[in-house]
Parts: sequence; C-alpha cells; structure tokens
Amino acid sequence: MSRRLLFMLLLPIYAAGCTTAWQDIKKRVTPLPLQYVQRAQLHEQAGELHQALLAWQAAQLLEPKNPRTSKAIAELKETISKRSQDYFHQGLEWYNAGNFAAAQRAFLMAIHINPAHSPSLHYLKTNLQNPAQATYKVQRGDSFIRIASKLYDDPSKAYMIAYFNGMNPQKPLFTGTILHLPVLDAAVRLPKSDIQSLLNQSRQAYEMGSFEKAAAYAEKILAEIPGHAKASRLADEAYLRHGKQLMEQQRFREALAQFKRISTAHEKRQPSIQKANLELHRQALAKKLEMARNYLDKSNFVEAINAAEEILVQYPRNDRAKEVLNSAGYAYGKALLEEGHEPQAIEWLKKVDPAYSDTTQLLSLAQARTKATAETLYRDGVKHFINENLEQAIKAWQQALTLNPDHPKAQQDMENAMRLLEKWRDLEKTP
Amino acid sequence: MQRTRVQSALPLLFLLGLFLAAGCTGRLLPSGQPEGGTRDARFVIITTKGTDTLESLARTYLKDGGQAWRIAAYNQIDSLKPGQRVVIPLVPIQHGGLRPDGYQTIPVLAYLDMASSPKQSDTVSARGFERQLQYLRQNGFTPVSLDHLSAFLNLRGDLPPGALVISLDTTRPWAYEIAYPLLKKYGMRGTLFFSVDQVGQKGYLDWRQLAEMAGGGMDMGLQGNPLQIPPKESLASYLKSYEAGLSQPKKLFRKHLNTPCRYFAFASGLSDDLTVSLLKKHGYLAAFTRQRGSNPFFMDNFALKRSVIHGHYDMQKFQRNLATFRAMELK
Repeated sequence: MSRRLLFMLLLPIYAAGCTTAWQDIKKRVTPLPLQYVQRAQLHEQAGELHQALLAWQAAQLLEPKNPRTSKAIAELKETISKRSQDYFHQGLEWYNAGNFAAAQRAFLMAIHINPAHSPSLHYLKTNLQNPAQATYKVQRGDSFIRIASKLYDDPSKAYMIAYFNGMNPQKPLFTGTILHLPVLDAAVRLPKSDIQSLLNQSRQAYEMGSFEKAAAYAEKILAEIPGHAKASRLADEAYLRHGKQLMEQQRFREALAQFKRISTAHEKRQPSIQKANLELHRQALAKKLEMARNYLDKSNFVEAINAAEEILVQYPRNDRAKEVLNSAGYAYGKALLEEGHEPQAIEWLKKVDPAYSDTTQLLSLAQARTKATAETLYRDGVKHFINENLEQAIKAWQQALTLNPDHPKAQQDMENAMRLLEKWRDLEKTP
Repeated sequence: MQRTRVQSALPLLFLLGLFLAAGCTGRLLPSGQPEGGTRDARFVIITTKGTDTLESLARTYLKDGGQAWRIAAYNQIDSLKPGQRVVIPLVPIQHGGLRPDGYQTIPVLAYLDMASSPKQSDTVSARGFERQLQYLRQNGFTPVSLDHLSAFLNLRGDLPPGALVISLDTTRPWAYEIAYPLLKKYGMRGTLFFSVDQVGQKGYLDWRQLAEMAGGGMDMGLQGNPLQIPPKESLASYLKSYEAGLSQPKKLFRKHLNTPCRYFAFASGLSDDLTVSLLKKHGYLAAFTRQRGSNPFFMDNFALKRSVIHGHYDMQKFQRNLATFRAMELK
C-alpha cells in the first residue's frame, strides 16, 4: 500500500519536473509546417501582413505541396498590394494637404505591410525629410542638362541634379519621375537676368563717375559668380578710377585700399599701389618732421632728437631731419655744458654735425673740462694714498678713470692700491 | 500479491519515464527533414547538430556571426538543442524595425574629444567613457557597423533591438590610446571619422595606427568640411578643387587601409546639397551631421543625425541620447 502511495506521489512530481519541457514537447508534437501556419494566422490577426507572408512562405518551404498554403500566399499578396496602395494614396492626400505627420504615418503603414513599396519609401526618405524643398516632375523631352538650364540657368549643374537624386547623369530620364532639387548656396546660382541688370547698373554708375557704386554693383555679381569676366573688368576699372580720385584729394590710405582691390593681373595695379605707398610715406615723413620741429620749438630737445633720428634711419639723407637733429643736439649739449654736466654734454654734442655752428669748440671745451676734473680726482686719490686711506684712494681713481679712461697713471695706481688693500686685509685676519 | 503487482508495473514505469525524458530532449523524435536542410531565396531550414550554436549558424548561413540574434528572434529561442529544426531567415524579418506599435530608431553617438584626465568640461574622461560602455552593455545596446546601418536605412537589412553606432570624430591619438582599447575591452564596435590631411602629422594618428584599428574591427570614415565659396576665386576651379578635396582623401584611404571609404562626417556638423551630390558621385553611402537625435530607416542617408557626447554629461543626460524606438500606431 505504501509503495502504491509512493508511486502516486512520484508520478505528479515526475510530471511537474518536465512541465517546462512539456511546452517544448507540445511544440514538437505540432508539425513544423503547422507551427508556421499558426504563426502566419497570428500575424494576420495582428495586422502584420508582411510577417504573416514570411511565415506562410516558411510553411510552404516546409511543405511545398500543400495547396492551402499556396492559396493563402496568393491571397495575402493581393491583400498586401491593395492595402499598401490604399495607404500610399491616403498618405499622398495628407501630404498634398500639408499634413505631413499624417502622411508619414500612412507611408510607414504602407512600408510596414509591404517593404517593397518604393513610392512610399521615396516620400518618406526624400519629400518628407524637407517638405519645403522643391521637386520637379520630369516632362517629355527633358534631360538633366535641359532641367539644369531651366532651373539653375546653368547646364553644368546637370550632374549635380543627377547625383543628388542618386541617378546616373549619362542615362535618360523617364517622364513623370519626381526629382528632388538640391538647394544651392547663393554663390552657385543666380538667374542671368539679375546678372545683366547688375552689370548695366554698374556700367551706368561708372559712366556717371560714381566709381564706388559701380564697383559695388560689380562686386555683387562677383559674390554670386566669382571670376565673372565683365564684372571683374568693371570692378577693376572702378577701383582704379576711384583710387585716382582719392589720390587727388590726398587721401592716400583710402586710395591704396582701392588699388589693392584691383585684380592682381591688372597692369596698373602695382604702379598705382607703389605710387600710393610713396605718397603715404611722404605724408608720414612730413608729419614726423613737423612733430620733431614742434619738440624743438618747445625746447623738448631729447624728443626732437629722437624724432629726427627716427626719420634719418629711414631717410638718412633727409636734410630737414638733419637740421632738427643738429639744432636740438647743439642746444641740449650746450645747455648741459653750461650746467657743468660735461660727460652728458659730450654725448649729445657727438650726435651733432661737427661743422654745425661752434660744435667742435664746445666739444673740445667739454672734453678739456672733463680731463681737468679727472686730474683733480687723480690727485685726491694720491693724497688719500699717502694718508694710507686706501679705500678712498681707489674710489677717487675709479672716478677719474670714468671721466678719462686714458688717464696715464690712474689705472696703474688703482691696481697697486687694490693689491695693497688685499694684503692688508689678509694680515688683519692673521691672529 | 500486492507486491507482485507493483513489481510487474516497474518495467512499465521505467519505459514511461524513458519516454518522458526523451520527450524533454526531443532526441528520439524523428526530424522529418533531410540532414542538409531545405532552402529558397528567403529561408534555410536545417536540423541542428550537437556542435551548432546560433553564432555558428549565423556565420555559415548569413556570413556574419553578429546576425545570430536574427535566428534567435525568428525562431523565438535563446539557444539551440541538438536535433532542433531551425528556420534561418535570409531576408530581413523586420524591415526598418517597423512594428505595429512604432518603429526602431538608431542613435549615433559622437565623441569629439577624450582624455585620461580632461582639462576641459567638454572633453570626455576615459573613466566616463568606460562607464557609458558598461551601461550600454548592461542594458542590451548593441553597437553595429556602418554597413549594417546602411543596409537598415535602405531596407536591405534589419538591426537588433538596441542597435546603435559609437563614432569618434578625430585624428588625435586619444582614439587609438583611450577609446579603441576600451571598445575592445567591452567587445564593442566603434567608428572613427578622421581627416586624411592630419594623418601622420605631429600630434596626430598615423596610417599604421589607423590600419591597426581597422584590422581590429573599427569602422573607418572620413571627416570633411561643407562647401564654402571664397569671394574672389573662379567658381569652376574652386568646385574642381573642392571635389578633389573629397575624392583624393578617399583614394589615400583605400591605399592605406585597403578598403573603400563609404562614409563621411561633416566636421562642422553642417551639410549642404552640393557636397551631398559630390559624395554620392564618389560612391559614399552615407554622411553624418551633428544634429542631435536618433535615426529611423527613412532618414536621409546623407543627413544622418548624431548626438555629440560631452564630458560634463552625467548618466541621465547620456541616456537621453539613446532613443531606440519611436511609438506610433501603425495598424
């Protein structure tokens, strides 16, 4: 009895152990073709018609001779075709009404059940990506070149339209094809009529002497079509004439700016620039000279000398700058000499032309005074030496040498004193 | 007497147990199909052997081990058992990731700068990048190649749920020294968009490093700028040189990496239609902008969105760039 009980208990446990496997067993018991038929039906119920078709096709591959499968596939294909067309037309209506969100949903539904529905894909991937972008429907007799001429006024853009639409520019176009038109930078498209109008305006302005305006009109064309020959010529002439006008008004910097805008190949560009540069230099020189003279008039000698020297670095033969330099150097040197600053007086007087006024005499006087001061300092040094005040002696001789580096004795005596001082200090350190 | 009855039932019980056990394994059930399987243009139906795995079947029949997920998804299984009959779909099973409740979108992440210890807040740290990769792996994201993305965009292939692209926009060494090793560590595929003009220059990657990364499974593409018209240059000659600027690097790419270049990233993030025409002319398959967002299959292939990941992003901000599905009732 107890064994029967054990058996009764074990059986459910055994069965429970295989509960998960039972589902697998059940699945296996259902023939595979039938599994796919069931799957197809489930997909159909869920509205996933493409998935359903795939499942039917798998079932057909598993059981090729089943007429029910073949029939179901044929019917489903027809349903898919019809329904995807319906969704597409619905999408098209929404698209034309400007309801792009609804259109997108309709096209997606068409693709969902029929991934091969290329018109829906085209709308999703092109038209709906940028609804504002222009499209063009190919008409009878059209070619890429003809369309490019018609729409961009430039036959060379044919390749661009073709490639932008993923088409071969060498192959013929079919009537009714919808082309997506690339949006181009303003620089690569401008109707011819506008160019002609700008060209006429530019010419008119030039003839009336409004060179600035003429150049501006020509530049508009060049901004759209860089290198446009007529516009380029007009702009060059306008810049040249405007530059000349400015030169006459002595507005050399503005003139130079105009000349620099002329094309590099233009024969008059370089000479005009050189001329403007020369005038600009002259203008700058005159300004500097005036400034130097002002300093001189105000007895600001150092500034006057610096300004004059600056000019002379650039123009060493400029007599007017030399004149300022001599006047300022002489006046400043003389003043320093009178105040007893002989070394400084010598420094400034040396900048002056020796032939200027009595510069040579002043310089000699300053040098003689310096030498005399140096001699006095030397003698002071000797006195300090005799009094065994070596440090004071060295200091005095150093000063003498600063004033007169060629002093015949100061150098030797100073070196001897330094050696003695050193020995003296050594002796002091010895205990 | 009772004992004898139980004893006589034991062999029956043994047989029943054997039958049930066989039912669990399925080994004793006849397959009903020849060993080599059956095929047409859409499916191959095979009976698995003991050594078969989802990956090995994907490698054999789909020429790509990474497509194992398709076999698993179509057969609603996680693994294989010997003797099991498996339907291998050779065509996309879910075109464009379309479902009755919406459609799949593919995020493309773009990293512009990375460093071990960043000095600027925009620069992504190596640690931060690793944390992001960990997050992606733990949450079922699968980085895919640009070829797979391109097939998805053209309805010629489908992608696993959670598919995304990880792209690096740089010719700087951090791509090789930091990002590439981390991607390898986590078994993730990445894409590098570099500028040929910079290759081999001081402070930039060289062709050897690029070839090593390409050989290691990194996808490669080129970086370039959109069209800019200079004010006083002949348009025709400028366009010619601009076109050469797109085609010449492509030739160098092929020469050094021994593979055609098919993908382009706009370095400034902006695209223009003329450049797109030229890219199409020169055989590019897709181009990437830096417009934030994920890409559904119907996205324009030459204006694909990419989300730039900055160094100061926390995990929450990072996650906002990972939308892989857009809900929409499609039935």
